[in-house]
Amino acid sequence: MATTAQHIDERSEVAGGGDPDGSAGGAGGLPRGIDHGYPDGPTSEPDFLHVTKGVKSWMLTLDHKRIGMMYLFGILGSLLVGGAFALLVRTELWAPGKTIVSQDTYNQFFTLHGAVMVFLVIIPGIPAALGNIIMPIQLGAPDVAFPRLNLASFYLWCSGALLLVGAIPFGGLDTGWTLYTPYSLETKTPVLIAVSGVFLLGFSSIFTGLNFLVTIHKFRPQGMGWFQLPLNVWAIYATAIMQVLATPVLGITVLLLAVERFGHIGIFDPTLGGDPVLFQHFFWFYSHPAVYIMIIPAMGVVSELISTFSRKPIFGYRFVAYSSVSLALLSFLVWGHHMFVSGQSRLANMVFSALTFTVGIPSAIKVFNWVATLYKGDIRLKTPMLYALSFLLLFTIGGLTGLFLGILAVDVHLHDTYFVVAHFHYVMMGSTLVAFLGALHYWWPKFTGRMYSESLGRVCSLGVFFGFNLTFLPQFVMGARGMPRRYWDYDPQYQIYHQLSTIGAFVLGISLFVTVIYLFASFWTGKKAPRNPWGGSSLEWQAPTPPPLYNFEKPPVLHELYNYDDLVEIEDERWERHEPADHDAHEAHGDAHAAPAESAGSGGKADQ
Amino acid sequence: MKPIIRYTGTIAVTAMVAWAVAAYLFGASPADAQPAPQPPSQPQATEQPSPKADSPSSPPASASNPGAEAGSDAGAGSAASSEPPKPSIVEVACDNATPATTFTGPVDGEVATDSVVKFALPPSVDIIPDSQTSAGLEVKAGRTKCLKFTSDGVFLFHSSTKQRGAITARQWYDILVNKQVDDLKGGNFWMPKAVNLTADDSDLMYYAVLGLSLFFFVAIAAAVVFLVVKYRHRPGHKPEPSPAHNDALEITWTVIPTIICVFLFYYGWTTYVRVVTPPTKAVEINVLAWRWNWQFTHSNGVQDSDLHVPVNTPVRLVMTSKDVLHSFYAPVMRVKQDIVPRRYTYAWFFPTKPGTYRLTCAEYCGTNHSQMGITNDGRRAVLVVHEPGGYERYLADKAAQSTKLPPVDLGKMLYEKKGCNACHTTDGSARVGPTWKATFGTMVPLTDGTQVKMDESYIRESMIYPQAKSRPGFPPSMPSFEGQLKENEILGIIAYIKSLK
Repeated sequence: MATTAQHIDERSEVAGGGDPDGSAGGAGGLPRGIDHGYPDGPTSEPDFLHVTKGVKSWMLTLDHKRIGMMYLFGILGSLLVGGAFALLVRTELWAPGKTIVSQDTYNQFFTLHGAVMVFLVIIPGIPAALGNIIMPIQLGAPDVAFPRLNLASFYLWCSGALLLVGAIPFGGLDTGWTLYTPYSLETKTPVLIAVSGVFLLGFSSIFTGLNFLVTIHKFRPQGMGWFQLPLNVWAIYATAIMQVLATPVLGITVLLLAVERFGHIGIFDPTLGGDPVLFQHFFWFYSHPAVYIMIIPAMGVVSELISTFSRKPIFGYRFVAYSSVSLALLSFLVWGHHMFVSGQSRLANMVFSALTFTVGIPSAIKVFNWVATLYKGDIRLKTPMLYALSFLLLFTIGGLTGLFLGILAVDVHLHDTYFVVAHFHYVMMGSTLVAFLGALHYWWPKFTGRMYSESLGRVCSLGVFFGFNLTFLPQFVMGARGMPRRYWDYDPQYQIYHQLSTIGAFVLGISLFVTVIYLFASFWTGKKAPRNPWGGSSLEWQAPTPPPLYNFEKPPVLHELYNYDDLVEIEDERWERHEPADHDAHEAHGDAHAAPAESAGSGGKADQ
Repeated sequence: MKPIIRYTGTIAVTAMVAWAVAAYLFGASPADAQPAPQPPSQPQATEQPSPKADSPSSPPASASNPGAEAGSDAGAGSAASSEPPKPSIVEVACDNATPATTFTGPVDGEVATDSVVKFALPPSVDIIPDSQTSAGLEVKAGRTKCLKFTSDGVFLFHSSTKQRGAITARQWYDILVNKQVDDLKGGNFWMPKAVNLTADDSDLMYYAVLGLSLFFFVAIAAAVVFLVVKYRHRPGHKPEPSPAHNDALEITWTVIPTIICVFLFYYGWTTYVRVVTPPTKAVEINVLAWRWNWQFTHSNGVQDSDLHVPVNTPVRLVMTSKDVLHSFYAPVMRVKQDIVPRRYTYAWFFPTKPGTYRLTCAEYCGTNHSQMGITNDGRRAVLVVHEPGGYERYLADKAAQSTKLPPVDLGKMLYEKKGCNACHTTDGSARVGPTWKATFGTMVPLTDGTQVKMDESYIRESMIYPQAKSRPGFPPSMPSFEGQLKENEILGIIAYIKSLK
């Protein structure tokens, strides 16, 4: 039960309070003079939002929490931009032929929608925003391993975003977010500006991954071994491996594209002896791991949410942990399943199809484990849990429809149709974005110190679920009936499906917009949050709300992972941990985890 | 009056009257009027559709200008018409040919050019032509008359009952391409009609995985809903002790999905092999795609921008692009293959039901990606599967309209014209380069020790990058023909090589 006594003490001296010998906890430990009106009473240090003031203190901060919040604002803004493009696409598709814009403008809309969402929102989403804010606190650490690199990552994200969006006034981008050659070599739109942005965004991702890998290896407290890590941390670790290994390939790919466009070398251009299909190999070698970079942090978050709101450890902790890492490694082997009809050889097709099925199994294992966690739990349907349950259903659909596309004979019919569009939206949006929203609502009180409106939260989560399904379920049907993707004009037989889809898109868009509004409104009108509104068991709930600069007021106490026995609900949305002084009450529960011989709770002392 | 004035005047007046009568008789419209009317030369009589001469009403049909014909024949220098315009609408005896279409009123209609059309009008309805081109389209009230439309076009008419209409005459195969696409009749909610032999296998896999997915989704959703309701928090409710892991369960729910996936993979793979492997004897059609149209070239040289195929015969497509990536996708065939520039890709299918079906491009290619092959009147390119015998008739009829050489003959001509005969023989004897006789489809050795199949891609590459796959025993002196051969010429040479058995 030791803590990072060394690290924490050095800094708490600086903060002007503190107990040099690091004696744990207790009421009489530290002078408590700073009172911002939070329910848990005054703290010994100002929280990180107020410790320094002024724009410059934010722009040059080294605090992972502030960096994460800046990422969050950028990402939410990009979500609205990408969402606007999506609504423009869906509006144009209300009727065949021209509805509001010409073909060329429409091609720009779907390209920019894809590029903004993939590169600015979904890939950075959970790791860069929430991972940055929460992961070090979950480790009991004062910050990430390389704070300056962290700030550099953020500014790379900003520059990349500016370049990508900045291409719009210069002509935009109309190649599709996948940038396939030879079209991307010939189009008059400013591909060079846009891919420069992508290049910088790639480095933002690489540096973040590197930072997180070192942090997770080196900044764990004594007593927190690998199998005492929260599953969220396992997920971020697996993601970081992929970010560091795969993203450089994206960088080189867009660099080659730029060199080809500018210098006419002849790598991809068939008129110069190049191979256009080679671009597809390079592109998907990164972009397939990229989709796992998107989904694995989402899975980590869902593990946390389901555990906390069922008051139970995740069933099969080790299997879930191992599956995250195995997914990360297997994801590098399946890129060819995006290219089954590209002219790739039949042997390659067979191999990639077989490997694609192997990569589906770990995801299935996780879903079963999450469902089993609900058994004999005590389930509270707060907004984060509603998002987690939505994730379960939507990810199941997304994963199952991936099976259709892995079957070679069926993929020949479904490739490049709306079936694929619906599949990837179920996993990228229905799963990743929904988990992102769940995580946002879960940790919002911790880093903002405010509670949002729970009733609006529930209504909007249902609006998101309903609107999402209305948008994308008809697209599965359309695709199997032969509607190709990236089509401005279509056969009138498909119109009813397009119209249902457009209506759903607007319901979804409005729900998301209202979500962003009420979250921001909570800064002014939200109730001040307690330290632990949901009764979470991991270390971040021991930090004050909002945390001080170095995250903890007194060194956190390691408890058994996902053990909710000592957490008591004082009132709705306020929990406290009562130390096991009343041992009798403890044993009266007959809880399974106390006796090492039985199937123990995940991690903890008993090695499984 | 002086005699010279009297005679000049008489001759002039007579000439003018004679010209007026001739103009009326032989249909010189003001645009076609020649300065000197000439007697129609004898060949004109035979150019008129003579078998119909037994009908008393032929003169109006000849209203389309033998006068101008005479002018152009005799005048030879007339640049206005390159071929003599024939009368478009001709009456035929109804008992000579079975009418292909019957009209019982003044309605719009589409008829096949050169087919017999019967008009059986009710007592009060008649048909009166609206324009010069429709002259001949005339039926008196209550009469029955058979007409033949000998050229394509739109023929406007009206009736004394004030109704207006138009008859559109097209080639019979163009009528098929203008039909509504037939994708859904015979399909179901999930899939369009299946017209390919292997489509049934693909569809079986689809329904299998669909059933599996529905089962698992319902099971998981039901479990989630059940557990959330049963174990929801209520005052006094606490979580009950339960195991935090169970190895037997984990292994079960790992092994069962794995077994299912193995089956899905295996049958998906074997079906796929059938979907992409054509039988050796197949009708071959070359496909050229560019932004934003298709060109289908058939074995007798016929080129078209709609794809016509025979029924109950394997059809193999050899495809390339002129510019960027495209993709051939016919939903009813469940077949899709990207079309890559500077390379050939292949697809095949075995059409089982005649009809007109959708043909789409399925790889984003720019502005008009969603409208590949669209015509001026908004009709997209289609796939037409002919009735038995229809494909051969199409090839013959369309070839009669075209003056291009079939690929094999073109290749033979280029063999000499482009100088291939300097280094390659066609009779098996040796010369500077390898012979072309009996080599297509065989495995050829390369200088690096490997073997490669001589297929279309190999020949094309060897014409453009001759040293890419060099063969032992021959000097590396072949020049590149890049930029010197048009697409159809490359195909012609390949066809010629294939024909040298």
